[in-house]
Amino acid sequence: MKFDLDKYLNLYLSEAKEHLEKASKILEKTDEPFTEEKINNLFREAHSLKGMSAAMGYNHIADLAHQMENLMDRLRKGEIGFSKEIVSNLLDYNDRLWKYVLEIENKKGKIEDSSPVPEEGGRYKISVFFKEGVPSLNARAFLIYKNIESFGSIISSEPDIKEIKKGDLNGKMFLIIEPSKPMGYLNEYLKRVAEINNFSIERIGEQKDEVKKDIRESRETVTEDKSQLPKSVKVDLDFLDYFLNISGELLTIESRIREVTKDLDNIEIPNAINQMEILLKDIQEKIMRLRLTPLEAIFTRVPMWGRDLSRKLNKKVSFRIEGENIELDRSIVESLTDPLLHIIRNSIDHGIESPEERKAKGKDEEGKILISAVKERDRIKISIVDDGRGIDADKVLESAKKSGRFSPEYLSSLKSKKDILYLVSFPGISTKSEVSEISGRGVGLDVVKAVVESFGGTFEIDSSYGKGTELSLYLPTSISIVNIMFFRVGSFIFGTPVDKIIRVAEIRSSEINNLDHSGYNILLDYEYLPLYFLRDRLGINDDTKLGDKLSVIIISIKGTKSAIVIDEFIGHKEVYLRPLKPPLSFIPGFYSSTILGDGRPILILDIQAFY
Amino acid sequence: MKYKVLICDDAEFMRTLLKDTLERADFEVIGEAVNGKEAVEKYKELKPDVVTMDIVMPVKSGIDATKEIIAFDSKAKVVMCSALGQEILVMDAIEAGAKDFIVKPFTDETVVSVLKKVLESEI
Repeated sequence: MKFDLDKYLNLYLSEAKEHLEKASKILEKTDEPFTEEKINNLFREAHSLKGMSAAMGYNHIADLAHQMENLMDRLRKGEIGFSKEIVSNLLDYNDRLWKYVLEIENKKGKIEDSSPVPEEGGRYKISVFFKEGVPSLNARAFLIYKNIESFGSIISSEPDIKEIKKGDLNGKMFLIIEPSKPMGYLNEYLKRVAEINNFSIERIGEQKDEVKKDIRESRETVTEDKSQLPKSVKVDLDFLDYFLNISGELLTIESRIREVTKDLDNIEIPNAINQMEILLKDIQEKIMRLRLTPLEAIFTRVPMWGRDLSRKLNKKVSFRIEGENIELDRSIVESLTDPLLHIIRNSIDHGIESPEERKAKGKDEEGKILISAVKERDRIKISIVDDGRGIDADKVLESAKKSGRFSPEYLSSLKSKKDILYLVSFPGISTKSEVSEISGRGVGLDVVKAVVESFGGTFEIDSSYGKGTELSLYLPTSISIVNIMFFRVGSFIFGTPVDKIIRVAEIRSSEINNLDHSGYNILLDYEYLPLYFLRDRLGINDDTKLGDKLSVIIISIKGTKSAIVIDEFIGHKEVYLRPLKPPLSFIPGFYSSTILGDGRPILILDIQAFY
Repeated sequence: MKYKVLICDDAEFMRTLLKDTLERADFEVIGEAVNGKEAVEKYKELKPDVVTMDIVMPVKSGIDATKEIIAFDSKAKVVMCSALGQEILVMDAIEAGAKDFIVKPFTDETVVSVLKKVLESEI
């Protein structure tokens, strides 16, 4: 398997910065005490940053994020109160985290090889070529060898240390090192050695025989490498997005031409438009395909990190990966790193039992985790299956009852095991009472859910107590072309993604209950669903009146099926979504826009975000 | 602040040459030692930022002096001054903890750049 550390580093940097941006935003207004939501959000940002930094080996960042997380946890539990000191501590943590993350980013800018991360099990090949006529070359090479040794343990070298001491090195040496410090530092060191003509640091495989071969090959191919030009070019993502935007606009113009010429009595016009449409869609599809990235970029990362973790926890775990060649839009793949790490962490920490416990249960001492991706119709299903102890649905229910977050009616209405297990994805709901260093605290799954849902995906959890757990993420392959349901509210037309809608229904206003005047609900399919009027939420108060027959959209709001009353359905259509620009993009719930064939701009709502 | 240097060499000619070179480059030569024993004593007394150490010196060799200095201060920065043909000794000195070496005859630039590199390095 090929590894491209660059890819992980960029993923890491962009996500770390995103978490820090969110944290900074929360910390902007600190005059008033934090709301519970603020505390939870800050906690999550710190927690995510901790996990990913630890995964990348940036322990200084992980440690700091952990301190921040702890502070938030104590605030959350009420162990400490809100004070100016706490705010200044948090601001300090935040500043230092920014500094560290930016440091990593800057370092990378200077490093041609950009392989700055020591990795569990990772090895690097260091090739050093000396200048001609270096005095006391053997002593020089020996000194460099010794210094390289301070960056990790040298597994082997060519020539070996005895030959180096004798000066038998023909102007170059190759070392295989298992780093204990970031390779970026070694890069900086080697750059400063005046006697070196050039050098390289490359990540290589783990097998010992590969190492020897690698060294030999490198001796032979060093000169060739330089002359070969790559067969592909790198394209800036912004550039790609620009083309995607343009192709979307062209399609919009195309349907507009169709609209304005439809009354003209010339068959050639629609024919020409049809031909144009075929080509435009082809271009668009090709551009979309360019944005696709195989899941390999993150899948290969997960077991490496999982192995490290299982060692720390004294557990035996083997990983299997399937479907890593399946491709998803780059932005989705990027965002999946965090959720996957959370899930794996949970599996190893809580799911997989200790070897002794497993043996006692008659299971294989080594736990198994399968990470797979399959294409299911137009969606990708990513599932993570472990054969650990599973989740006790009764305990989840108990924990949910204690949390006070859900009404007893709601909890008793949950019939299927999957519905009950789904509760684990809410903050604060867990089957574990103690908080562990690695995971616990029940933060993981709400992060997973949030990320998956932000792409219009869904999330499912199934478990057989004592036998194992399966988490499934259902994701769209690409993001920009979306099937949108259009509907009218008052005199306005809005849209919302079809895949967020569970179903649509017609009800009579007389069927709406307002039992205790705290909110409406309605009985649909033998379930009481909370009911909301979208026109209230949007503040639409025009002359149009609601009749007795009402149209409702059933969607999931914070995990609860809810009915949203709109005025009238118009229909659904695949459209190209255009991102909103500030200040519109700042309004929660307005997440995109599109243009109808007649040129009318339509806002696409994320109805969940309103409630 | 100027970097403080201790120069250890039994030849007065070499000490003077190094002193002039380093002072031109804005280092401060805070002491000179004429043998390995004196080198260790002056290191403990003056706590220089960096030491230039001749390898072959009377009373105590540069290598033994380096070992003792490193034993006293594990972060000590010692740069060996060697001649062609002394490579085996240089490698012994590196094993003993010397951070770098300069091969005689050297130019002003070499001396200054090696010392600066060692002073700024974290290794």
